[in-house]
Amino acid sequence: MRSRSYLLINLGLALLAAIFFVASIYIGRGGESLVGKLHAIDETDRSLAWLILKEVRLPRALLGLFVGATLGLTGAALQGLLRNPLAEPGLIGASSGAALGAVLVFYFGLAAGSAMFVPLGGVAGALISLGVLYMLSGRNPSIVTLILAGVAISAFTSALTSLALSLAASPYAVYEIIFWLLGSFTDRSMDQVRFAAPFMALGALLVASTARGLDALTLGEDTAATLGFNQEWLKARAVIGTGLAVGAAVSVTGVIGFVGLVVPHLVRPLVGHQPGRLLLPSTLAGAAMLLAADLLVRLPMNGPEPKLGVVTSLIGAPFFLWLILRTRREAP
Amino acid sequence: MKLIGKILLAALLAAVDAASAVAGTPPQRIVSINLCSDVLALELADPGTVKSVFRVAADPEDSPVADLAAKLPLNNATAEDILSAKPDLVLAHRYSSPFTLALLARAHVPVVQVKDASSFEDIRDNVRAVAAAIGHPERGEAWIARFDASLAASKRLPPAHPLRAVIYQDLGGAAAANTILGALLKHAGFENVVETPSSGGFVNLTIEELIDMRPDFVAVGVYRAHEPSLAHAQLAHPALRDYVAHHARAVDLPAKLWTCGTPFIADIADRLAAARDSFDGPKVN
Amino acid sequence: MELRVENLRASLGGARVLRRLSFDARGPSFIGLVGPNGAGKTTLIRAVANLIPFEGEISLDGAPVDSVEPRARAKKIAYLAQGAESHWPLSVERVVALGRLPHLEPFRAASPADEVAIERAMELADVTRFRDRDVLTLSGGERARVLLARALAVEAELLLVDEPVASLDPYHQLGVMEVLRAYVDQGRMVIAVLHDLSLAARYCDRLILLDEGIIRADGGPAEVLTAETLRSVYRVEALIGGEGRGFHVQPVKRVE
Repeated sequence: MRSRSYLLINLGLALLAAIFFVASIYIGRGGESLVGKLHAIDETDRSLAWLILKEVRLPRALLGLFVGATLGLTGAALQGLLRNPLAEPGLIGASSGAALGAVLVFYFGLAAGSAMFVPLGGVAGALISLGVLYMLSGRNPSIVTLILAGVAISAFTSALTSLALSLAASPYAVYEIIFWLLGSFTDRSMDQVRFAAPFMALGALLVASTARGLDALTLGEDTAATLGFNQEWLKARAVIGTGLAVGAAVSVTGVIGFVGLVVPHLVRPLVGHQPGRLLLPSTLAGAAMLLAADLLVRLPMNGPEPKLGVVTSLIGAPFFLWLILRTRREAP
Repeated sequence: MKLIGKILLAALLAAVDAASAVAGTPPQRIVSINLCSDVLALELADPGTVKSVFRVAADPEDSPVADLAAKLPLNNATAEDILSAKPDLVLAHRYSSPFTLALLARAHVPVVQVKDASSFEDIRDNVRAVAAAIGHPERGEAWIARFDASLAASKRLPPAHPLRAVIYQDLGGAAAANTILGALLKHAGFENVVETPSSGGFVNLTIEELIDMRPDFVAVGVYRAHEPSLAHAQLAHPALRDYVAHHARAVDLPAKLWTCGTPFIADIADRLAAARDSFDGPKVN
Repeated sequence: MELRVENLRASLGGARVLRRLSFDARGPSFIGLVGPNGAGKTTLIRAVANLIPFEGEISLDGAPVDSVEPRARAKKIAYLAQGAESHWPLSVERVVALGRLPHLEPFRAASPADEVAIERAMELADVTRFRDRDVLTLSGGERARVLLARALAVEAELLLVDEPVASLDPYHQLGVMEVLRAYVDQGRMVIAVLHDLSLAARYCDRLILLDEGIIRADGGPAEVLTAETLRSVYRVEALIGGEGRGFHVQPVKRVE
């Protein structure tokens, strides 16, 4: 019956993500292709094209894939968990908390360790933000409470991030605020992919394991409990999974807003509103969308690349407003 | 509030007027509020006449004359800091805050501004301007003569096969031709891969774009390399390291020698000339 | 199927709601929980559903409900909360299918047995004809039947329902009561919190009358709903008449 079209939609989204992934590797600034260079006659040209492919393009494309998947997945899961179509890791403060954690480790703790620990800082920051949100908004948060608490946490942690960066013993910290708060994939390296990917994978597994619990939550917490889902355990997996995945993602790419908000809404018309069934297509669509956005920022030929977070916010913020308007209209 | 402000300002003005009462003699209370003028003032002025310098002037990472500034009071380039030192001359930069400069003008404090040097001639102009303002033009000319001699020694002609070079600053910016660093590259016989002039002086270059330009020589402008920043992390990018290891030669250029266009950039010219000369021999890495 | 409740005590926000409450029940049986507001009816079925902490013992076929693994318990006890709603605009069929969640194997889609159970539940609740409709676009009465079908689809031996006919018109009230009756007639047990005493008396095999956290009367409808109990527990004078499906209780006057 419908499971076949569900499969087809997922295959389609996976194919889309794969196409953008390959395009992300081969298409450079201003739409210039790497393919020709890989087949250049001159050996140096060829080896340099390979170097760029392996060390510059591949990590960037992998980050687009992983971070997009993370944001799509966690956005869909948070919307299901909170039964609220406006939830998103960025809006509820997890992303900016992660940025704060990553910044503290990167600028103040690195002397002791290596870049390996930056994702840990991001994870800790995201988890603390989510914990505070939980305390602020209580068991059954209304849309308003949730968004306000999220705005408060975001504003506070962003301010702390800026403060930390102005106090940091780092010559460029103040300029780098823009990276942490607006996100970018430019010139990330394979090392950073390696450090962050395990956390994103672990977080994604935890979040994915909540799929049926999120379905059950459609009918409220009591009904979910009587359908055999331990509420505390379910929330713990969704929240900790989100913290791990988003924290690690932000620690490498900075805050990329609104992807987690927009993607589930784009996917719902295709697969319906059932939260558990949304997770896989949102993951795939998130990856495809972020890869596409990252291709978009490469299109302007001259000048510095626009930050990726600028593009996603430019698209996402109006969408968010439209959602609020629609929610207002539908409310009795 | 307004009234109190006026009274305070009047008090400060009275103090300043008293200080600058002795006219005609060289300034005895010089306050410099920008690193670029600090360097010139400390080199040229009589010891003891510079009463305060900008806060980074005493930092050996930032300043080539940190030892000269070591015992001086440091200022934050605010009108309050400046006026309380009762200056009879303030040295500032073309880009110093216009609000601060406007307050100084109201207090009738003479201000001399150095310009953003993007050529050797700009450097000479700045030296002359400061030397004249402090009343020792002859010291300025002597320093310029030494500077010119040093530059003459590091001058290199471009080779028949051009050597393409980039000065990559750790923020990911490459020095454009219309900067002092661009002028230095040309002076040492290199061809700058960044051909277009840039209003900001630096052109944003991703690692990929840098590699695409295939520079033979990568000069890295290093600033506080031991302090964490994304900018330094970018210099450690495997692709950049791999490119430099296999396809180019590299040299570090300490930021304190070039952040301000002063005669100290002759040291940079020496380093670039030495790098240029190394291309006549085999690569040693 | 045997449900045993012994010395059940429970508190809400520090106030004792259930005090030493005991009863046994054997299926198939349709049990109506009646009593005035605040008597502890909802608390009782929430305790049986293991949704709130309690003291004392509740066991199903000899196994204490609070020591059973949640999924195993979910297969045996279904629960329909008062005024349950779907938070997302799912199709009717998908809402009903949620009732099969306790039966699904990890990483497996619904089995043919699950599909059959979903069809059966939709059939029983008479919602099959709008299976593809968005549940949020249905009328209140239709939606109540869909959510009931969800609870039926669990095919649990014990179904707990909290005020299933509140806010329904008479037509839909009768519809829901008939569905519950039919479910019992398949050999299961239903415990329903009911406020409409006539409906309770007509459809239930047994009524338990709660007041201030204790059982005041327990037995057949005619035994429980006497003029005396209505006066002492509900503090109303009522007209009681009819037999079987015609049994009715009509409150007429408050007792001063």
